Amino acid sequence: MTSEMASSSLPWLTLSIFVPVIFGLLVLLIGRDDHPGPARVLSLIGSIAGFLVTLPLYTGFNPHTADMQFVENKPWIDTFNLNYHLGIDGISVWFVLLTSFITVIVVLAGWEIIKSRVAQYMAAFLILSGLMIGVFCALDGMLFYIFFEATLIPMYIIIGAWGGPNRVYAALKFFLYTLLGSLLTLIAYIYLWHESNGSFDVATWQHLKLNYSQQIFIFIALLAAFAVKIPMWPIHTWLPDAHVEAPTGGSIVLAAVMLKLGCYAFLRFLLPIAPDASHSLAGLMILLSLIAIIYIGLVAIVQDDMKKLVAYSSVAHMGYVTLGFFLFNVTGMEGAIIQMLSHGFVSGAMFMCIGVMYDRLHTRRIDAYGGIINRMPKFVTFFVLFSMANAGLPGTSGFVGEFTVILGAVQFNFWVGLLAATALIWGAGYSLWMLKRVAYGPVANENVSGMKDINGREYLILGLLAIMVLFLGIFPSFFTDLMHPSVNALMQHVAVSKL
Amino acid sequence: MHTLFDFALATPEIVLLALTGLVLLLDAFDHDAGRRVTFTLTMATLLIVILVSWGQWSSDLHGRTFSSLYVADSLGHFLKILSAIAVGVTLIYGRSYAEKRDMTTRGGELYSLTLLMLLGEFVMISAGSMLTVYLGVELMSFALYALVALRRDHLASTEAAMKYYVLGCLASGILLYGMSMIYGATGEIGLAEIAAVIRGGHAQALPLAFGVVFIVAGLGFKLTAAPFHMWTPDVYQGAPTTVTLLVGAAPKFAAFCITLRLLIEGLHGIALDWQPMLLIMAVLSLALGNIVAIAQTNFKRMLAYSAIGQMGYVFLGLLSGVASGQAGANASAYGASLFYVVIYVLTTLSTFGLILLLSRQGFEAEEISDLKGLNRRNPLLAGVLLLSMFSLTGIPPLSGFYAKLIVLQAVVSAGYVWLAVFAVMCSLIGAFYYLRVIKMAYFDEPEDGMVLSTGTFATRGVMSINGLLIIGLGILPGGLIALCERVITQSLVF
Amino acid sequence: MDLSRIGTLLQQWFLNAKRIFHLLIALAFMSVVAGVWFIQPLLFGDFFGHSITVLPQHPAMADMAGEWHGWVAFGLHGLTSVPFLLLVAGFVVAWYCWLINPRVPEAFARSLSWIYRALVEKLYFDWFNEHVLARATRALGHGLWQRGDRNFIDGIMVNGSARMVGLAAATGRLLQSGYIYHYAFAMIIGIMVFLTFFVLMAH
Repeated sequence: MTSEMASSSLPWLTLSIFVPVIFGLLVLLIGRDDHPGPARVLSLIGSIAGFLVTLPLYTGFNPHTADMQFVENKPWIDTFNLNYHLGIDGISVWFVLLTSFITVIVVLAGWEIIKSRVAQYMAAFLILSGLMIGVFCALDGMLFYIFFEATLIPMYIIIGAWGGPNRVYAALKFFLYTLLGSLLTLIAYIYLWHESNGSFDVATWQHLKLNYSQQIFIFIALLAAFAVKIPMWPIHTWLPDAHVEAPTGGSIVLAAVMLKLGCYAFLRFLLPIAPDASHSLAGLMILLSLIAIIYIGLVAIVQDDMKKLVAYSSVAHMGYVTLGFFLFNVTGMEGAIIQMLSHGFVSGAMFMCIGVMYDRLHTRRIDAYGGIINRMPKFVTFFVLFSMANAGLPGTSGFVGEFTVILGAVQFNFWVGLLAATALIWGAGYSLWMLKRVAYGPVANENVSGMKDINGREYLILGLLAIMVLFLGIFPSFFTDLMHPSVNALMQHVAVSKL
Repeated sequence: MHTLFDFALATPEIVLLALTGLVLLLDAFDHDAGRRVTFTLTMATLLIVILVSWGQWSSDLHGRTFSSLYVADSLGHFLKILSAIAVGVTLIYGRSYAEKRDMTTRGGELYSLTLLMLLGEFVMISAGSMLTVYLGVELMSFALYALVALRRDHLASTEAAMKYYVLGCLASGILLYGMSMIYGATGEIGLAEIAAVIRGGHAQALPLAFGVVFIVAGLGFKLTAAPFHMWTPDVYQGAPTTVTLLVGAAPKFAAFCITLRLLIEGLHGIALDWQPMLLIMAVLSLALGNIVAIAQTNFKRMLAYSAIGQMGYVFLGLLSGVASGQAGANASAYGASLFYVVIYVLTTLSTFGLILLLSRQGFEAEEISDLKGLNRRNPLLAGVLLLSMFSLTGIPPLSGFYAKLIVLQAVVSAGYVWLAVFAVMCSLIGAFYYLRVIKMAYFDEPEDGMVLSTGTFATRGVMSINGLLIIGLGILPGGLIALCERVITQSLVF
Repeated sequence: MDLSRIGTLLQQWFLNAKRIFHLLIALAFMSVVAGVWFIQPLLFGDFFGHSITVLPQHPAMADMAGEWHGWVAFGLHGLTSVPFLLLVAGFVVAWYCWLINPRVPEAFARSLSWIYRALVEKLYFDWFNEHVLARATRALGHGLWQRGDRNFIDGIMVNGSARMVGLAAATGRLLQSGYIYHYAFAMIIGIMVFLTFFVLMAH
């Protein structure tokens, strides 16, 4: 099932994964603490190279088929049939591109503010980028798991080495919380390997006949890992701590891409492998999603730390995603995927904005700011755009995803749709109130008075993100066109019972 | 091939014994406090022995000799080579440590005793009968008791040696008692013969069962499994670090090998008897090792508890090999355990090696807090520490993950899904203290006045290779895994 | 390009009473012209073509079309309609109260103070939003955050389980007493347990 395009001559997926990793290792080798310049430049080249290598995945993509494309399948560990099996379809293609794009952003974001052990910092992000792309491309269950777990290592180091005052607690919490779920998933994967007579192939698993109690066990075990990663309520508490303590780049990557690993896994593993369990537990999942949307939306309003506020808003946005998954209609599913993409850009941008402010004043407390529009008008323009996107303003990408999911929800059940729609109120509440307190009004104090507007590098980052947010908001069909066949195929697959 | 006196099969042991004698002799003429000549001779001996074993393996030499007391097969060759390499690396790491602590000033016993220990291990690995097993165990253990006590003016070492000696003798006695019961039950001491008797149904059930309990207890002591593990923390912490590494690395191969030979080759007919015992030992080891390690502040002691927890996984693999009373039902489980032991020894070499490299005159780098800010002081060592700790936790893409993976696969294939869940929960708890070590190295700043001695270029080079293997075997583990399985299926008869 | 400078210039040009008056007159004039020109095609003609479809169930525009007699009649009719008369009345009252005799509004404010207050406070909608709804939301958010997230999830489940493990570790550590005979006993007890369960009970 290879793509018919000539680009199948080069192993684009392997390149996408390993170009950033190799550049990361190179940066580690040549990096010296006293001369961080070459390390920075090499990292930038590496991240741009990583992005360029993923572009052929879009240009060579066939939007009319639900089959896997750019497939590479080589035996790796023969003893138990673990293969190096890669491939993308309509669901995963955009996330590979999102990851490589965000890597460039993150390298640029850490350019000046990271002053110690620059080479290790950049290398960690590059390696992390390659590993995350690996997660999206893997078509072999254990290969997926290996990439999925391996992302913990660089993230742990990033949070713990360059983070805030409480970073050790946050890094440990992140690692152990995620590991707990992942280990249960490991058992589930080994169980599936055993049940499918020694195969880790995802397609085989998706078509494997399982009885109801097996499906429930697998559902719960897989849910453990992916729900922690997304994160769903009530296992979300690692996220605010991790985001607050991580450096800006770490928060951006965490929010923009790492959360999507869990969501993607729902689509690739949880729903197709255990469709009956998914249907019967859909009510519970919808309930948890609604709680995330409303409860966490309310919690976000009262935060006084900007990063924590955006972290909680991430959890609320992810509630939309999981809601969309379990409505079992195409509208909801596509809305959820669009929401994943949009959230990647919007929350990445929000964390970047907070980072810009933090770089100047070294505090994230809302009451330390006020009236920064008087000193940083260019910055506030972007900040307003992204806050509006966070609140779900039409025209920005935030609206498209949420609206589509609400449409899907209303098709499913009017009251679910109504409750989901209240998110627009909470979103406006936390985003706009924070915006108002921070940006508008008179200049609050001397510190704010001294803030300088954004420089060229920050302008570039925010500009790129703004373009993506608006593009996705105005022209979402550009993105959804590629997704249609795969989403339809998934819906058809999930509609069929395995019992 | 069962011949009476085929000396060719036992060439590695003969060569080793001869060269050990030579080393012992020539050491008397070496007056250098660092015993450099002795060291070089020892390394040469190891190299020669490795080459001999390698030659035997590649020419596929196998058979039983000395009235079936001695067995040569590919499992034996494989483990002998690995033991010799492990001992060699230990000595490379530990040489300057030992020198600075007056362990080699009065004589090169460190080296000759180490070679004798290795000889004991070789005998254990090639054991074809219970007598040889016991012979090898005693030879190895006595050498180790003396080694632990080598630093005789250091109180902790002497105490550790005392404990090891007393408890070790108790364990050897228990093992021997068990063996005598087996002899009483079957009338044979050769392992293959015992298996034949049991298969034929001529063995007496009660003494057999009694004997198995005692044998399992003795093996549990050597493999640091709970509840026979209590010597481990004190000995690992008290012994001079070079000797700790000698105790903790290579002997694991030998102990694992005799477990395979005794339980799986000799006593596989009564697998239903020893399997539940292994289960209890595995569960206790996993729980105890991983939980109590959290409370430790001494790095060596923490690693001792970690060893107990890791051995729990090895036992999981061993017990999964049995299904419906058939010991050979799931042969890949034994390969999984073997792979686990290999990876574990590799990681142990690097962790204790790190302590050895960081220690210097008057300063033992024993406490976990001594690792603070290692990334600032020496990124290479910190990197190896990172790889080792994550490998022990079992995070991909490090090799420790694959070790855990294949053991868990064996466990699930045998049908013990809840046991697998329990095992991963224990390793989750264990993740905490491994992460704490990384936290010290990467997230904390070095304390004032912390000077780093990082060993010579050669030792750092070996450490780098060690680290590269840990990640390299994680990227391409297939070869080693297949090898482990192959040697098991070629050598053990079910 | 300094946007704020352009803004200031625009402001200065625009905020001039006479200029505003002229602009208003122009707007009024243009409104009349637009009405004359556009009412018939927009409302009753087919200016919109097929972009707007009025279903037969909604006859409002059709009924009104029946009454259409051209823009002059439409305008004259408007001049006699109630909304226009109210407009004029309002204009007269406002002109009187605020330009001729400002003491009238004051008298109203004093005597009907509660109506006045209500109107100034925009019927207390804003007050309600701010002090009831927003405050309740914030309180709810605060409660859910502190009680739910902090105390229950983080406090009891997460940190609580971490503390339990720590306690287990500290207790387990005590088992390692340091005495050889304890260790030996542990081994012997282990053997005894194994013997009991796997030998005596099994056989």
